[in-house]
Amino acid sequence: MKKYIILISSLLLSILASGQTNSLIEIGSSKTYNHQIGLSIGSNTGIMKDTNFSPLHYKERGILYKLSYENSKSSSKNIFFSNLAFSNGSLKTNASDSLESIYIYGDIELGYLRKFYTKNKKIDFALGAKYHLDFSEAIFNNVYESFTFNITHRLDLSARLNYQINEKHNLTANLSAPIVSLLVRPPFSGYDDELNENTEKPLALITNGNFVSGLKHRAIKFDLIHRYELNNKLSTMVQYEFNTQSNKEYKQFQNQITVGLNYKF
Amino acid sequence: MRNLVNTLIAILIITSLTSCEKTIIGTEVGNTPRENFELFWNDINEHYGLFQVRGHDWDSIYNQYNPQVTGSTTEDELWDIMVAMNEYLDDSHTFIYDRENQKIEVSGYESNMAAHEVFEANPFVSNYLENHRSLDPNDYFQSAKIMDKEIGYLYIGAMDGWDETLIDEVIKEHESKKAIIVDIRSNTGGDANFSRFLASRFSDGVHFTHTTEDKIGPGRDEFSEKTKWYSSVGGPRQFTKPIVVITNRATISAGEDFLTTMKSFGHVSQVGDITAGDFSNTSMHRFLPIGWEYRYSTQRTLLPDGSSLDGIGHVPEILVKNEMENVISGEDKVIETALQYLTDRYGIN
Repeated sequence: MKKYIILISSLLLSILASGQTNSLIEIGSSKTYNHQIGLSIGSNTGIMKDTNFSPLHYKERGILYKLSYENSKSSSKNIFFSNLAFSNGSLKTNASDSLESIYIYGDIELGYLRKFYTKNKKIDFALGAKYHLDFSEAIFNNVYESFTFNITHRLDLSARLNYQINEKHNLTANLSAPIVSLLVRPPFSGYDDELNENTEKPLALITNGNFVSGLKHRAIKFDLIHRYELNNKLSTMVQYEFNTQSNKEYKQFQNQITVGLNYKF
Repeated sequence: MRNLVNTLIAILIITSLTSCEKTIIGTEVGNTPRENFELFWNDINEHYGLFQVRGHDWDSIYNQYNPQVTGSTTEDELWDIMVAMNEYLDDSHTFIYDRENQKIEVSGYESNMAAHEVFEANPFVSNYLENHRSLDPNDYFQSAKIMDKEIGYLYIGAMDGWDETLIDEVIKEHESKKAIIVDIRSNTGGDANFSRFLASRFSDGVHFTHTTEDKIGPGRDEFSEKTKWYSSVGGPRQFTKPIVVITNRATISAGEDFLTTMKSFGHVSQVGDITAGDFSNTSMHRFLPIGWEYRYSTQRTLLPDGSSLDGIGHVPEILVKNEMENVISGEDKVIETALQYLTDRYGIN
């Protein structure tokens, strides 16, 4: 874990140093940038219940890493974005400390938004869609004792409200929910020959599921990001994310807080 | 005033998120004796795959033990009740664990354990074998020759945890032998694919051996489509001269799968005791609010004629088993019977 923290810190410092160097070059310039990349670290906490795995409720905790990229021109209404999140943590129950499990969680998003309302260059509102892969795996002791996984490939409706509070402060809220999802779950018996065969075929393993509508797999992802501009290339950001999903077998409720840096280029 | 409004908004958000959490996740099942009992019975009721083939009446178990579980049932009493329910299934793939107190109960394992103890005490290696070598640090795979005879001997103690490709080297070593005794007594099972891999080195062709079905829903008869399994021919060479597979009551699971495939070959016979009769996959660990874990069988295995050996086991051509007094006196009746069988049937001395 220490290695990861050192690596992330080094990356953040590199970006910061790079941003400060470039900011000297750009002093007095009104140049705008089309690309931005963000890197942040924080915590993921939540509650998970997977009846396929256990009748118990589990508290999830873990360190969360996020990486984001966005492409948007100020003169254009188009926004392309991608987000990655990964958390490595644990699941605990009230029943017994001996039932603690390893918990891995990840999130990948690729999307497009189109601005359709702008007011005084301070507020803009965008709507669009994204491909959203959400995956998690819980392992009790080792995969031979017990494991479960939840993989959802979603087509999400996505909305964004951006508010430029003043020259330095910016607030962005994102909200998304699935229209249709491909749910990939362990079999009813937890483990079967088909799953066994697919363990050596990752593509089959992560796509062998059922399509369900947004009514059967209900999910909401909401995040609020506050950015403070250090210079015209670099800003700090604090992000809160609320993430929930619920279907017949799997229910999850997450709160995430991350802090990081955003770099424009 | 502004601070007060901000505080109220924060409280409102936290309160709504907390209530939202309960709405989404639901109320957690309680840790009372009744709730643990109901969960345990229901989970097995919905997932256990062998009620029909083993002829179990699980409803009668509910009726028998339900009145015994009350709010004042102690933890020890509840453990004893669940152990008794587990024992009723008489299925060595069905367990209950109390990890904190290091207790484990394996259903129907008494006869398997007794057979294993006799096998452990058996000095057959020094009394019947020569050129003996173990090819695995855990002794899961051993090769030898029967003393003063052109008959090979292989011991296979588990169907995983060792390098299965060693089988090819050993088949080559025994190529010139007139017959081989394959000893799978006290084979602890493992991976059925591993079993089929090994069996392919003794194969005389492709035969339909059995089917498997997995539980896919809570109904007693909700199973997946049948998967048909066939023997295959594998490796650079196969040993197709007479083979006697020797077994005991502790030959279990993937060890029995191996025998299912082996018995589809015309040159293979079984001598020894009836095997454990536990063919199913075992479920993942399941959890109870009291902190205990349990597992059960979730699969149904049928022979090509639709019959099941679950709860029965592979019945040998010649039924013979060692008792403790035999092995203490240095006699292995099973190996001796296997040798006699090779003489009687094939004229191999």
